Amino acid sequence: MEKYWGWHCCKKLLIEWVSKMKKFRIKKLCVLLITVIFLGTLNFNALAVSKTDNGSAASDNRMTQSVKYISESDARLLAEQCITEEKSLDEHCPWNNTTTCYETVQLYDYGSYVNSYLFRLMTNGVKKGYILVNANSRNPSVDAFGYDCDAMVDSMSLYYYGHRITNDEHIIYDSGLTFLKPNNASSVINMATNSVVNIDKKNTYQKYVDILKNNVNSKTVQNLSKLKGRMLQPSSKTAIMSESQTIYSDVVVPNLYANGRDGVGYHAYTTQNFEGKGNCAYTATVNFIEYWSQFSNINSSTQYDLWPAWYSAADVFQKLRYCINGSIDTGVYDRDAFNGLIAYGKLMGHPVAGDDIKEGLWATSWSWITQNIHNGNPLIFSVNLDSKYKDHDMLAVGYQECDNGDYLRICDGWNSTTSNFYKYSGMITGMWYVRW
Amino acid sequence: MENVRKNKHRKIFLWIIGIVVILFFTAVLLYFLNPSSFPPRVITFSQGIGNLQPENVTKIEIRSGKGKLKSTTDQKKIKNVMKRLSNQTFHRNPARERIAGWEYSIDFYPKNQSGFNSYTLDIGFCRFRPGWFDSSLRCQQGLISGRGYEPEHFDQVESILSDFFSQLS
Repeated sequence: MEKYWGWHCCKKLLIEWVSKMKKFRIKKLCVLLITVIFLGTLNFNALAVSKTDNGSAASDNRMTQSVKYISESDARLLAEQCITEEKSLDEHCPWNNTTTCYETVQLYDYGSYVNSYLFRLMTNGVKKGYILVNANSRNPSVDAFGYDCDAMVDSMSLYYYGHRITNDEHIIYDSGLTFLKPNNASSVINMATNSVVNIDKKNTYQKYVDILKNNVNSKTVQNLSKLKGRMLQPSSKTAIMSESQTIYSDVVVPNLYANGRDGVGYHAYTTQNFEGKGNCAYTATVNFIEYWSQFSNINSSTQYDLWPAWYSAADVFQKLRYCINGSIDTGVYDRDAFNGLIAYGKLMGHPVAGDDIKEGLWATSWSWITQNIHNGNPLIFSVNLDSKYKDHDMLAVGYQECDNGDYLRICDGWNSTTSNFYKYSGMITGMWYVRW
Repeated sequence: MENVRKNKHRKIFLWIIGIVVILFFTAVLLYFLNPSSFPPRVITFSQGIGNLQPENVTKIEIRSGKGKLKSTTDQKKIKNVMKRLSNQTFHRNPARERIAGWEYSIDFYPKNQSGFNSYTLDIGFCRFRPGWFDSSLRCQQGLISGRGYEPEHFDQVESILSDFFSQLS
């Protein structure tokens, strides 16, 4: 009976609704439907726009790239060659076997592409000297260097602004002594005179590109090829070294190539260094802490507390076992690894100053990644359903933007090299960092 | 004239409603027909790797969770390990789908096909095939039983994989 009444009521309501609908003018309905679709489209566009805005943080104001530049690692090869040659050729050269590049500053063209690298040097632990490398792929060469002085652009900056130039300033390098500091959309500051100069960036960029295209030197190109040939090749599976690949930008977290506490460079630990059968999350976290405790720009007391001098990597690993809620054999959830890292900071007496985590497929964006690498935040990330790594945690210490895709420079926990790359794709299901 | 226009509008409206309804029911149907929507609670290893027969497997690769990779194309070894694994049962545990870190991962390369069918201890199964838009291998879920499966007898599966790993050079 109840069932019958239920059906009866529904039927009545349906008939009522249909008759009301008939009264309603079809035309109005159509207009309503079209309006809804239109608003939906607008919303979709708005979302797309906001995503694009967010996604292009690293490439704002960029013009179409018309000229190719060599990567930072290639430029570094030229700088190292310069050091080696000067040591052997010039008897007054103060550079020796301890001479290393401790810091790199990127200089840009008018289209916001990195066109030169300024390597600041350190000899016997003393920071002095520089090498400026021109990254034009048609004429890759050392433009200038100094044994014990600042680069000209640093001298200008020190004179007018009281500090050496930084990556954040996005200094434009035209040629010779023309270093420009971005001012607003239509003007720059000439650093030689500290005066504002109005420019039409698009036209200036075009003129600059035309000059660059004519600046061809086969000898310097061959020299770089020879140097690259001597480089260790990364594993074949990365496919990053293909002949035809063009690298548009190569960025690593600051000081990655500097010397650490014990006088050697950054050393990536592998899962083999520690106990456990599925300990990738812990290994990636040890590598993360190693960077912050020896290579980051935070104050030295915090660095020492994060990884005390008497601690071995295994000791840090054991501390992490205490902090991370998971298993060294059967794996860890992203959120637990992230919370464990925060707990580690507290445990070592230095609660983190900031943190962020992105969870889920497509939760990360390329701009979020590049922005964090620029800000000096290495990123721990997990891949899911990857054909090589399956479900695995790794550390990203840099990135490369190439013509065949975007790559993360990784410490994958299986090799101790940082010359290993992972193509950025939707297989990343979690990414996080903390900072001090 | 007014009536003709009204009828025309009504027809368009009905068409739109009809298409939306059809699309909705197609989506519902696809959901119910997709095996990954209702993964079985318990499966055997054979089911997990898509009922691959040893004679149709050309190569097996096994990697330890620490990154060391070994492989074999020896049919005897392939047959032996598949036989030992085939009747092992696995129960569904969706919580294992999103965990990072594993002990062994074993990939079976089928004859005349690109890609491989894979089991990762103790995360689950996956069939890796080239993607639609590029040649990189992607996990296709739903075509075989899927992920989030852990062994009923963990020690036995672990021991089989460990033995197999150590017997390969």
